[in-house]
Amino acid sequence: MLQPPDHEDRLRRLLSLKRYECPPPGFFEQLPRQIRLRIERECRPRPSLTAWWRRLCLEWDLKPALAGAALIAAGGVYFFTLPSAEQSPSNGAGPATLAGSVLPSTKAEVGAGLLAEANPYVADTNASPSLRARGYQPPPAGLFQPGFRLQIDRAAYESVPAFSGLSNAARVTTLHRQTAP
Amino acid sequence: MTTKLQEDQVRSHRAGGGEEERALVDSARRGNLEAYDALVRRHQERIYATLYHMTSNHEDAADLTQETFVKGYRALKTFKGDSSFFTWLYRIAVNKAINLLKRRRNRHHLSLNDLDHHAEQDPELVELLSEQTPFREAGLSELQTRLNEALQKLSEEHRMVVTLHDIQGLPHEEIARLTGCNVGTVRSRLFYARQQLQAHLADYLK
Repeated sequence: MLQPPDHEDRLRRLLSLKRYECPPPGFFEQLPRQIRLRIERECRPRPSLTAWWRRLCLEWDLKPALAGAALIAAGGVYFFTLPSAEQSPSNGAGPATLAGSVLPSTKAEVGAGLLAEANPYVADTNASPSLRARGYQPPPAGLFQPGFRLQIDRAAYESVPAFSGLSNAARVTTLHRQTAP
Repeated sequence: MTTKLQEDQVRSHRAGGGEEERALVDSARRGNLEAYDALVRRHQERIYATLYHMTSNHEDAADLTQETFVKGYRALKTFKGDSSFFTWLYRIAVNKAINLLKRRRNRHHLSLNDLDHHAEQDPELVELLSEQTPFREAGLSELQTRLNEALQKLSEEHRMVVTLHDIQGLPHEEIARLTGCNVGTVRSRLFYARQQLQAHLADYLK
């Protein structure tokens, strides 16, 4: 089966044909970019929140006691905060508040708020001062009681130079509201 | 059988640019993708060629080349510098090729690259074709197919030695380092592989 070794030289010359086999044109120009993209895709570190969560899950898998402690702590926080959350609406302090902010109660207020976020200049010139969330204060206690006197000062306006082609634009600067007993 | 010129080229590659390569490796290890990009450009052709000659399939070789460099990047921290970066990378490539070939032993197909037009001007090939042999009737592309089929009949270890020595021109010592066996084993595998190839290509070598 085996051939005598005198054909070795011919075999060597035949094998040299392999050196002329070339990949498609441009292959070696594209390859580094493809490798780099693949490295960036596969070796990029995960987002920190995901990594933190995975690490936490891994810790919990390894330490069931830690998972149990975390569960008890979460349950404790929930049960201790639940009664105070139920009591807060019955205080009668007016509309529900979240962290000191006032929720809009009418569609007009909601619309004005969105408008103010989208374009503050439009909100400043067109919106009523009472709709401005930052300047809003809760109504004084006893507003509708007999004998209650509400003293209201005129809102002060000052003219500002024309802006963006709008002449005679007025900008609300201050709103003073004083109440009297 | 390796020519002195080929051995000189390998030796100069190993010696020359060593410092520069080490700096690139250090930089890449710190996450510098530009440095790793330079290393890829430096070695991609030889890594691809080895994988292509091992698989006789361009698509497999291209995929394995990418995998080799991606794995190399991931494993850079484990590279201790005992060998050259190229030798280390080469070992990854060869292991990947052997794993693939073992998985696909029974369902392999050739996907050969085109021959460079310089092949027709190679004096050794011209001489081979001009002799009174079946080569005269066969075109170069047919020869290429027969040769690759014969190579695929060799075991992975024997094919690797032929590829590294007779096609890529690496010296026995370098092949021994890459394959993790001694020089005597390399020589013996080479001898046996050539005998096998001569048997498979007997009609063309008479």
